[in-house]
Amino acid sequence: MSAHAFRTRGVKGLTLEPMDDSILEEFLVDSHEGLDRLDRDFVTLEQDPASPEALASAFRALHTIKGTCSFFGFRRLERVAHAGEALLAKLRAGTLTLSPDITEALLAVVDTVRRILAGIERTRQEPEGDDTSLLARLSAWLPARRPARDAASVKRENEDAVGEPPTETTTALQQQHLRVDVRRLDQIMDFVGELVLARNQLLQAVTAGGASPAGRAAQRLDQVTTQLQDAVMRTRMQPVSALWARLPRLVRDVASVCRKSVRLEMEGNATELDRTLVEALKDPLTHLVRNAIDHGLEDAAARTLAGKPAEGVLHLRAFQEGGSVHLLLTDDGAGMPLERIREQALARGLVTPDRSAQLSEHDWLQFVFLPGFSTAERVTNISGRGVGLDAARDAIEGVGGTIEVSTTPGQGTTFHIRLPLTLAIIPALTVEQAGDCHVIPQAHLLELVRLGPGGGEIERSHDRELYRLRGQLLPVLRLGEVFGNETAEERHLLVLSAEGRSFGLAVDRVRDTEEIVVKPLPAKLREGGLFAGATVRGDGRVALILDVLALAARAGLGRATPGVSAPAAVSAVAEPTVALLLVRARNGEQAAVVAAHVERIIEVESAAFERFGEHAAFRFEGAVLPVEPLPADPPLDSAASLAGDRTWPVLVHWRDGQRFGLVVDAVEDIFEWAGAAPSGRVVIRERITDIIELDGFAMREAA
Amino acid sequence: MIPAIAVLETGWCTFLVADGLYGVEVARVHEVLRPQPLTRVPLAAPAVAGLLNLRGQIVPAVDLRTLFGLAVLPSAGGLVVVRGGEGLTALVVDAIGDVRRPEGALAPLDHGDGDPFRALTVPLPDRLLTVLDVDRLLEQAFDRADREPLARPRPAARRLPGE
Repeated sequence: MSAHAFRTRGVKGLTLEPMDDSILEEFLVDSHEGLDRLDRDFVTLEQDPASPEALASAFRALHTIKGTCSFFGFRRLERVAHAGEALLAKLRAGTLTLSPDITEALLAVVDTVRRILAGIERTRQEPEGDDTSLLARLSAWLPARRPARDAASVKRENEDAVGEPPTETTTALQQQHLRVDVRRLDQIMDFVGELVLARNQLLQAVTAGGASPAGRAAQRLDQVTTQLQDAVMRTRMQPVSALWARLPRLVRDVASVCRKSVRLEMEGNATELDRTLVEALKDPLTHLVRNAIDHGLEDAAARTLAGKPAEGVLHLRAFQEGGSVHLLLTDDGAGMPLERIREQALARGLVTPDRSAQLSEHDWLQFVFLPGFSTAERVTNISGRGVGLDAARDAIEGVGGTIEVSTTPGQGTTFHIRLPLTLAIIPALTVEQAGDCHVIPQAHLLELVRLGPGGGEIERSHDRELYRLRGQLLPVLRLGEVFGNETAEERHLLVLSAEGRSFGLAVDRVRDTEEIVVKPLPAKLREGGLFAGATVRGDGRVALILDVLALAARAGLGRATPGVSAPAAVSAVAEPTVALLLVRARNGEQAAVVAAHVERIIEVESAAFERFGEHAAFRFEGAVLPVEPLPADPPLDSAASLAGDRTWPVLVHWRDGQRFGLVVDAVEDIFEWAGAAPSGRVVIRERITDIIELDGFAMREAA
Repeated sequence: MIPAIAVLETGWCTFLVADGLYGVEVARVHEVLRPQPLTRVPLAAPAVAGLLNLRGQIVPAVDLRTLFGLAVLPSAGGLVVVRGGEGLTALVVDAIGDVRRPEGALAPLDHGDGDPFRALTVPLPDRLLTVLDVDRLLEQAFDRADREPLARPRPAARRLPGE
């Protein structure tokens, strides 16, 4: 809300009733946001001292605070804010250039304002305090005495400082945003949930009635309900930048205390995550950043000696991969001292010497998350006391996430935080086991294999079950065995990826895929650990979401076991990729399909194709397999379409429980696409490439 | 759906489990439901009958028959949704009864903290009402240790009219 609006409302309030507490509340929230913006602006200004946008934004933020607090009668706050604003006005006018000293002074203003606001928040009164030294510091750059200047310049400056902002841009932006109590959103969510159920029942009731007016209305209601559900869900999402807003300032402060030069890089600002996660991550992230600067990054001298640039880099990256949000915090420092971790762990009896021989580097590193574990050679007031990483891990696991660390000596350390999208909508696969439906986040699914007649077979090696997948042995877990309700009727094997390794999960059958709303499981049922949450299915019933990581541990893919390496598509935890099959169309254009969606590629001779009407087909495994052209290609309506003494590659895939073949001119290569599977038209190897959607899965059956 | 009972009422929301008349404080009852489809939770404590969807909220259901060490009926008679320590929990019961209020001259017997489930036994004019201690009950229900059921009720000496 603009300062102007406060004033109007405030006058009423002062004459008619005691000050409205909600106005003060709003002022505090607004001001805190303004201060966060100031922090960011000043850090930008340190890089680019003349940035007009940053100067204007900082000026506006301080000006708004000043304007509003004069209305509330917070004199001390007003004086401090005014002095800061006056200094900014000079910087903005170009009569003064930003120096490190000035930045320090301005940051001191921000801190003082924050302290005063904190006092107001506690007591509803402006706290007592002496700001003379700060004001004196600021006045060094401000004109010593007003009379020394001519009246015109004073007037101009005042106009500049007071007349113009709050500018139209701020108010316009603010009008598009509304602050809403999260509890109210939760309530709306519940109502929408109830609406969804009523919708489902109504749909069931009218389906029998056919295309009646009621049936059409029900269908419209169906659509709108789905959209409403989606929209409400999205209101709870916040960009990760809300979490990162304070980091530039934090990095700056910690770096200057440690006397290190650090550059913070942030990537993936727009990645959205649920509000509750943003809150839960604030402290752990702060801790990790402090740690990285204090212990991870070396000082300039050591870096130069190691042949690295004097300035350390802290890289923060966020991205969404299927059902998870990933946060990677990487420093290019010295890496974690594995030797010291070993020594400490052995000295503290955390691991027996026998066992220690079996531990991988990855296993050793996980010790740093234990309470009281520290390899820091010195304890600073920033970090090194051995408290913190364990708290960070607790906080992250508390919201259902995981944190892992990996390090390369001399090159740096990466913390990988992986979070579930609680309350988010994720694509998921529904499987059936002993009559119960369970849900698996599609993010973990690599491919589907059919078992039994006409499909693959699970083999046994001593006490373990394995499946041969394209020459690789995959450990297999039967869901029925885990749950104690085995049917010995498994018809599908899901190839799942967990932390860069893959394993097979045998289930009775695969039902369908749908977008699900992830809901937290009641706390008392979370302890078992095999379920990541629950969801409400279309028919209103609850289905459990399987925790693929926990299942992987059951499959003997626990951290201490080397296990089977995953296919290239998932081996890099940090950078998920999708294997695309690059094909050449008959007209020479390039197209691509998701490799996992293709059951197999077969070569078919021209003569083997048969035609009926506009369609082509060939006999395959005792059945007729219809063949389709790529969208870019001409139809297969005549014998000339697929002619010549040659063979044609056909990509066999499943759709609606039936096999189809996609005929192409040539299969050219496999391309690892970084990120989630693309759609539409993309550029691969400098060629425009159509992504052909093969409707989900390599193997699929009608439910 | 039976509407939720007003919170400020005093009394006990009663229900039947096998031969016994049980009750929980009305203030703890969120609502009473007809039987709902439940989703089984593999590997959960035996008394966890499953999960139900209460207007979008996932609520665990506890089967009182299992908890009391009795044979489970093929279909439940109703659900009593109570407010527990961490959100709502539904109790699966044989049949829903009336709301009964303290009455008569006889004082209830307070079982103290030693009893696994019972808080009070209230002598109603027609029969005894066992008031359950919801907190202790839920603590037992979610305990995953496969221990012997703690409170096997004795079969009623005589059948009551109407049962």
